[in-house]
Amino acid sequence: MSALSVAGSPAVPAAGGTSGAVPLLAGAQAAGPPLAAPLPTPGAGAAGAAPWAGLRADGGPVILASASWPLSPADQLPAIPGFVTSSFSPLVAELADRCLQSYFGARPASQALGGRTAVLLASTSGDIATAAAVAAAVEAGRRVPPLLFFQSNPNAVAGYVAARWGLAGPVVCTMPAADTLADAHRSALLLLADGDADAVLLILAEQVQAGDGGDHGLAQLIGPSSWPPGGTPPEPLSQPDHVQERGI
Amino acid sequence: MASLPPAAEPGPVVITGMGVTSAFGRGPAALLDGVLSGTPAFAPVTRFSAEHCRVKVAAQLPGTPLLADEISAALEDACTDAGAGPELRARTTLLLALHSDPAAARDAAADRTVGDTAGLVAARCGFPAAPRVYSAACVAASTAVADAAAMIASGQADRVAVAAGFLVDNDSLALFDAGRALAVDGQVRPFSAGRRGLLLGDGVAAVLLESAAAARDRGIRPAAVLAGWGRAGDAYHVVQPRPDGSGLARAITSALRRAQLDPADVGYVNANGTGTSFSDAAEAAALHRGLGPAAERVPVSSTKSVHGHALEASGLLELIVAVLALREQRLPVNAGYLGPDQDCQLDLVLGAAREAGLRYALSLNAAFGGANTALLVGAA
Repeated sequence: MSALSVAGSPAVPAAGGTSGAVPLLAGAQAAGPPLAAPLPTPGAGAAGAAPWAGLRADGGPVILASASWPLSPADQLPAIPGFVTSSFSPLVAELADRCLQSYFGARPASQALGGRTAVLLASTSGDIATAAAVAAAVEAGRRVPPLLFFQSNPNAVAGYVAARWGLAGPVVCTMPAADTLADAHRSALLLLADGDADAVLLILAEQVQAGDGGDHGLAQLIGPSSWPPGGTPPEPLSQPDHVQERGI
Repeated sequence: MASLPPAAEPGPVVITGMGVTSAFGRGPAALLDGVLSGTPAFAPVTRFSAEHCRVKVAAQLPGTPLLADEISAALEDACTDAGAGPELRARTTLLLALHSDPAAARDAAADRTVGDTAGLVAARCGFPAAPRVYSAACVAASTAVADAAAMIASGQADRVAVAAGFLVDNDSLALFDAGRALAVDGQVRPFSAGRRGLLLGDGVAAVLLESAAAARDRGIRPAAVLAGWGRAGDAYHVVQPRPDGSGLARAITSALRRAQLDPADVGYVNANGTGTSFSDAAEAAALHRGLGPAAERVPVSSTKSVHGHALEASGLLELIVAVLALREQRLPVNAGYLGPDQDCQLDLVLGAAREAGLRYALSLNAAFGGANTALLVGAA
């Protein structure tokens, strides 16, 4: 399995999560095509344009908060409801919680901030334990456990994070081929420049087969240095009833 | 972020080449014939044993094709269509949307991981090594298209190739069967009363996207304009869509805003339309929320009703269907229809393909995790 590249990462948290603006992104600029240049600011009154959209060019994307896992050999991943068998989704959820708690405090994020925050999950390994469990069941002629249907795609846990924290920007999942962090940063900056998101929760998660190290990952909240300058999104969100009821 | 020099005005994003393979066969003509006929391509699964599944049908190519072979062939077709030779390909970014190969979960030494497949396709077709792969389920390909368009629109790239592929496999059928997502009556009935779920289908597709200026400089006539694209999340549930459709509606609005078009300009919607009860109802709500009164008049069909759900590749397969509809000025059939559902009050294309005079078509996709995309194509 490919190891998660953290070389050049500008954010190395000293605790469960850290907040504070860190300029982007020397590591990402070293390879590949140029970083996204801001698109022209949408015209006043354009649908979907947040009041602070015009500040991106001035503020520039920065790492607003970050977190990593594990922080020590004793670090544990809490189970999450509805996800079984594999550590991949709990790893993603824990990384998101650590990062977002350090910035927002209690969840969900305020509607003004979460409404246009994207979730970007990048993983070279993907959920290899779930894929292996599905393959084992099929090869043995057993029915696949229904819960594996949901978690077999990374979108499921990305949606879990989005619902839990009220993040209603785009949901994107990628498998970078190389330079994982730099590639993910390019994806994040492109999302910001494209205009459908004002901030991006980037989660890098790698699941490692037994005997080959251990699962690991990091999360970063990326947005304009001046974020949030205020304002409200065009369509406020309500916390879904089932999220409140089930406590996810 | 480092300040960058202002990009030269790239003009609109255009589609200059297409390649596609589905259960209807290889090439756009076979796909067009299939979606206009309204005859579903579903048949009993023969590629592998489906004896442990309740649902044993899917839309499949003959035999046991390999994903890397089929994607490479479609990408070659798209490049040939666009007049993109080796020199051009070598400096063109390739983005892929792929379903994982079951072989990789069974044998780590099989060199069949998603990354292996991506690398093989890039090498065979002459693109730079190590392309990024999009894995976001049923919006993987449409997300890759949106990223490619954003790269071109922002001046980062003159052109980007996007290719996607899913071939029905035993693991996928078993997973969807276990999740009770498959239609036990063997038909996909989008937006219809009595719909029972989705069916899987092979889908492999590729496009070359370019700035209009770059295409003009090469003397290439585009197949279509990618006029707009939009993405938004539901922030609602692990797998279910937000019932009021507000997430998908924001994606539609974003695509229209980029295109500087009004809802009334949309002449056809190729819907996500999986044939799943709550998903289709949410999509109908999204169309009414995103298009307003125009949603009552715009023709809608989900061609998943005939070619099946191609998962990670569906967004690109269906984008090509929308381009073909524009080119032919004929609208594909929404097959499998049994009768109206009050939660899906749309102008569905029923019975036979419909003649139309349309300038813009909207292709919608939605996925687990509340991910929504809207791609808006216009006549070149």
